Amino acid sequence: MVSLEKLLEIVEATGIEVKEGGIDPKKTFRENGIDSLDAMTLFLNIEEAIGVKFTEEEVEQAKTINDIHSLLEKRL
Amino acid sequence: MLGIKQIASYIPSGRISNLIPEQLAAFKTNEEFILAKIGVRQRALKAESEDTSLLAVKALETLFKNSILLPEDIQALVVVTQNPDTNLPHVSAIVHGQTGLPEQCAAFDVSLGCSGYVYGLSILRAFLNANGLNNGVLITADPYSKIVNPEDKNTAMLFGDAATATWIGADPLFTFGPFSFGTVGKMHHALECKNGKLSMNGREVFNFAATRIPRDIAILLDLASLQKEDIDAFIFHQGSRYILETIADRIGIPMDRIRTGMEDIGNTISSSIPLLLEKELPVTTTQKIILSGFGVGLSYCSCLCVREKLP
Repeated sequence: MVSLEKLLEIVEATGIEVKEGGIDPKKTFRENGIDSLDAMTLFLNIEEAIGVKFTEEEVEQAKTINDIHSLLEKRL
Repeated sequence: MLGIKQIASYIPSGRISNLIPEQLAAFKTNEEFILAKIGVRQRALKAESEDTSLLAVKALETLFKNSILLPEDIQALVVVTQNPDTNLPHVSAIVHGQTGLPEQCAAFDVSLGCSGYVYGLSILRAFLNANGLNNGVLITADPYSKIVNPEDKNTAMLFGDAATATWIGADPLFTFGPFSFGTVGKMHHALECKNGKLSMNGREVFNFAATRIPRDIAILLDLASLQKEDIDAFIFHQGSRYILETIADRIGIPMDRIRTGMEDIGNTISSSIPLLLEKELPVTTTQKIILSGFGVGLSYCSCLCVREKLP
């Protein structure tokens, strides 16, 4: 089980620039100022930190940090 | 010891802008993203009449013009390409025929993409050494404009056309080695050409490069008994600005030691490394360089280059 707080820590550690005020897990990556390439880094860093592998479909469907958290809840 | 004596290149004069408003809109992107993340303002484009062999011939003719190498001196010619003029004959045979190379010159192609130049250095030098030969030329010519689908946003704004020719011989400017090689064949679908059209799974290629290349550089440094701080310049395959920054960040090296050169020509596949190495040959402060190519296969290869003398 990975808590949302832990997930946000991983996101912060990636060093990706987000909009002022920090990342909002409910907002889409785009709304948080995260472009498609930064999102790839985000997924990779989460995969490495937690030891999971996201499928193409999962990456395609996950638009928010909450979506990723839900995916991880189902997995772990 | 055989090494790199000279490098010459040919970049077609044609250019296609990546900043055409209609295309940016169609791909749902913008100028800031293209410049900051892709790092390609415009791409080099060969003329319709220029096939792969002609790009190669032009690079080789430039090498003859800029060095003391004569056609009759060449004992082996290797062309790295995956986009030959036709399925057969091999491009190196066409180039051989068009540049007046001697009949006793060996000529063969190597089918590799973005790792091809670094592999090619190892292959050609080993071939020369194994056969007691002294002079060989390694050509890269892989014009992706032949296979890119201009409506595919994953690939349409990345690739440019170019060719290079590297003279490998005795008393070189740079020797090279050790090498580190790798292949992730189970990911070969991530970058492929079917029915004449290129397709790329951007996330898989990104993950491959972001995870394998930093590890490969660590392996290479270990093989060479060097630290990353000992290296004056890193020349990575010019996949995109974002991938270069990611690799630099993961290795822990500042961007000022990473050479870049794709802004006005694009990602030129196996030519991207020798195009940058060509510029580095006269830079006398550059003593040690790491080359690292990665791409189609998925394949990667890195090597150390050490300066032996000044130009």
